[in-house]
Amino acid sequence: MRNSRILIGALIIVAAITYLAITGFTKSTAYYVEVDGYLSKASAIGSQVVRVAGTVKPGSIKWEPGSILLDFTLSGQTGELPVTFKGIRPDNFEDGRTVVVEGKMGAKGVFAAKKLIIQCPSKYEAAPKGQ
Amino acid sequence: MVALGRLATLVALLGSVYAVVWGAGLVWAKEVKPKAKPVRQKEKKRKNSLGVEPPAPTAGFPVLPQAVAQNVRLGLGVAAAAATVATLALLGLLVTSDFRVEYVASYTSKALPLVYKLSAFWAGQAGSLLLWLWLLTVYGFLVSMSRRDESLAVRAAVLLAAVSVFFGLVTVAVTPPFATLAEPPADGNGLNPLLQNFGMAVHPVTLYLGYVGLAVPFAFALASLLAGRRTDEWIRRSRLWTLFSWLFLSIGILTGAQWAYVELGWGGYWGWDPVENASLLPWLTATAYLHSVMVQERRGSFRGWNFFLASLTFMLTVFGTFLTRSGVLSSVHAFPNTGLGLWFLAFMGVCLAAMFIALSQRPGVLSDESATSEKDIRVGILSREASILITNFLFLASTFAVFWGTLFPLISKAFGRGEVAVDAGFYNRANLPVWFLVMVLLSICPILAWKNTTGRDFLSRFRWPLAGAILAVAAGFAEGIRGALTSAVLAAAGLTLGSVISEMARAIAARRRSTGESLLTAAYGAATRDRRKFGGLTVHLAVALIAIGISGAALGTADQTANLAVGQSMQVGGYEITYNDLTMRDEPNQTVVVAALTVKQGGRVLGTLQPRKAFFENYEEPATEVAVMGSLARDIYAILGGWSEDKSATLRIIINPLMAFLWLGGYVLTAGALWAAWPPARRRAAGLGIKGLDLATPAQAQELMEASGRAASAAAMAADQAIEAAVGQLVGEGKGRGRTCPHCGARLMSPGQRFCHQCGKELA
Repeated sequence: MRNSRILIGALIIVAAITYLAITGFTKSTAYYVEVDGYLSKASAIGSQVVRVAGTVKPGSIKWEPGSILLDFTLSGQTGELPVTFKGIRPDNFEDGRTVVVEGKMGAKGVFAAKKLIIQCPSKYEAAPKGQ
Repeated sequence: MVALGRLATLVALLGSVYAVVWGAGLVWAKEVKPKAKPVRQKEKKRKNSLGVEPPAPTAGFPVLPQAVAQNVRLGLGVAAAAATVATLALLGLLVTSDFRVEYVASYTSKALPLVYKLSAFWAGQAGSLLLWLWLLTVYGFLVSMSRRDESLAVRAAVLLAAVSVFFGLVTVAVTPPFATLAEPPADGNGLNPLLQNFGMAVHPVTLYLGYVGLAVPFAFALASLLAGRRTDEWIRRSRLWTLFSWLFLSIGILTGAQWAYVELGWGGYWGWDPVENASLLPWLTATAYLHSVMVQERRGSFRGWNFFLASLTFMLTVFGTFLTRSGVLSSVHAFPNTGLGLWFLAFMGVCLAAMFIALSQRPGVLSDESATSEKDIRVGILSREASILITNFLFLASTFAVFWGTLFPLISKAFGRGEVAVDAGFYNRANLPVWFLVMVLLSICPILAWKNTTGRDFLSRFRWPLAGAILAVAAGFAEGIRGALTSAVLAAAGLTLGSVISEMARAIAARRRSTGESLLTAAYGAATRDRRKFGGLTVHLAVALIAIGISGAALGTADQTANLAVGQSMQVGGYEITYNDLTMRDEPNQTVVVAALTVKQGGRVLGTLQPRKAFFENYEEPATEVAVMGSLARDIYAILGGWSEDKSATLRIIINPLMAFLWLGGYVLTAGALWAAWPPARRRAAGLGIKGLDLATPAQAQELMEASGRAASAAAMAADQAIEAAVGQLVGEGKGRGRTCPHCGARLMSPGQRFCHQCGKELA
């Protein structure tokens, strides 16, 4: 007798969670692509929110503290993507770093990033001196 | 020291192997009941008021071959000692900045403060795995030396040794901490500035202490299953281990959140990063486990479920370690990939296989204690068992949601849909309703009785929690809180507060009725007699506080970024922040640029803030150090984003409501768990004896242990009574009339009780 009650309770909870998970999913997920993949699929992706990974093109960083605007170019293997980010330039944001930007395509082919995630290559190690 | 370290690591591995080899046969063999009767003659058990037989006392359990026990202890002892030597060697190398060793060169530098040189021990892959190995072998040794229920303890120790073999292999073969460099550099790389924070000294260690400790209940569970035991000693034997490990894991998670809050500079404390989730997953299952074992202790049910939870918790800790090290998921935390991923996967496979083999070889062992009548099986919905069960489901639902979200990028990639990243929205949506229900249940559960609560009883006990909820919502309303969500959380927190206070008051009042003590003495006495209850209630209270802290964000975080010239101000959430000056100064390890800010509210100066950026010698990038002005109501959080030559600065100010409750809850949680775990004075004295005698027969050993235990108990009891008498004299006279167990001091449940429900010993 107790068993059936347990089962019903479990099923209800599982159903509720599944429902929440599914509805939560569509709003909180973002495709993760590399720059080249993004450029080739740009029309298919349209104005969806995506995460694009690439490296910061050396010399492309333009940081304006006055207007709090960070512009740079994200490079892939073959293509490049200009990005603009309204916010403080993170400390470890440097040339050549692997960066993931989350946002959507904006005006004039410039990607409007809402979030910047910088991946440290070797997490807890520093770059050897001199590099 | 390098050679010593290498040798020591190898010896640690060999010691563990030795223990496993000696103990393998023992672990696999079913325990055989002894032919001769144990010391206790009369085994007539009477049912107590619950209508269920009280759990069997830890009788003199079956014979443990002394040779096996001694060799297992020897192997683990040698392993633990060797691991300690290796740990000390690495620490020594770190402190003396011996840059011949690659690990030292990678994570320290000459100018690094001592505390970070020491903390560098766990900063990297190899060192943290050595930490795992050290803790594991020490725990294994301690378990093997346990005097109570040696048969089970030694078996569990062998299983712990088996886990140590894995970590030993990895430390020796894959990531040796004592690897040297061909050309030692003049100075090391130093510690990543992000890690030069007090959190570095606390967060990883407490997490590891928690992680490793959760292997112990698993070992006991599996050992008990393999031994063919249909009883519940393994729960009692591993209880303190579980509690302390849970506590350390909680501290680890909270200090990690606190560290992220003050260090990373985005105003948040939890990013649902895969590695963060990896620490949360075993915490969720361990919390569920801590509660459902209570049901097993009382009623002998949930056996299979608890075995499952203990195993799942351990597997999740290994999985968490795997996630951190394999590079499988991109994360802020992850260590670089050194091929460890496959090793961990293999190890998890071995553990799973072991569990399944054990389950298949010992069918029926984990089935619930059979009840003698239909009456015993039926449990009302308004019972503690039922609410614990439901809470368990909720915790598991949350675990599944977090697990799913964490692994989703891999799953979606496997299904060819491309890698899909999951962000906070998903986790919040899936978890918050579940956690809200958990909070409601955690306030209701303590007021429910075991087996069943009549509607009338429930309603009368529910008055206080309900009052608490109403008060909390009213207080929130008065403070301007109108949102439904926040009010709901406040209501739940109020429910908990009411339930905690009413339950504590009930216990104290009951004690006063039977002993006539004054309020203070009764309060202290009640809290000490039933530490589990009071500690547990305190932890529930802490959870309510943490929930308030978490819900603060829902109140509306104000977040503004502005570029200010010297003397300019910005308005954020009702506060006026004035930027006064930018200065630069040199400190031993770093150069800092500090912005001086003044905070005003309604024209009145509240204080100053100095957010800064620190520049280090070996690192191109500076570290941003935020400045926080905290109070119970809100945190004012200032970040120095950047500056220009004309001294104009980019500043980001965030107002975080109710953050302080999160940390406050953390401290209360620690206090509550410590209180619950602290053994009572009598048990403490009795448990201090170390096994070192070589005795002829088990019966003699048993007698000697009992005699010495009794002597120690008597001494401790006398001392305790003297102290109580003194306290009683200070605060007011009282005569004890309530019945308590002479062995452990627990308040007895019924007059006719023959066996103490807490220690299992027979009562006079």
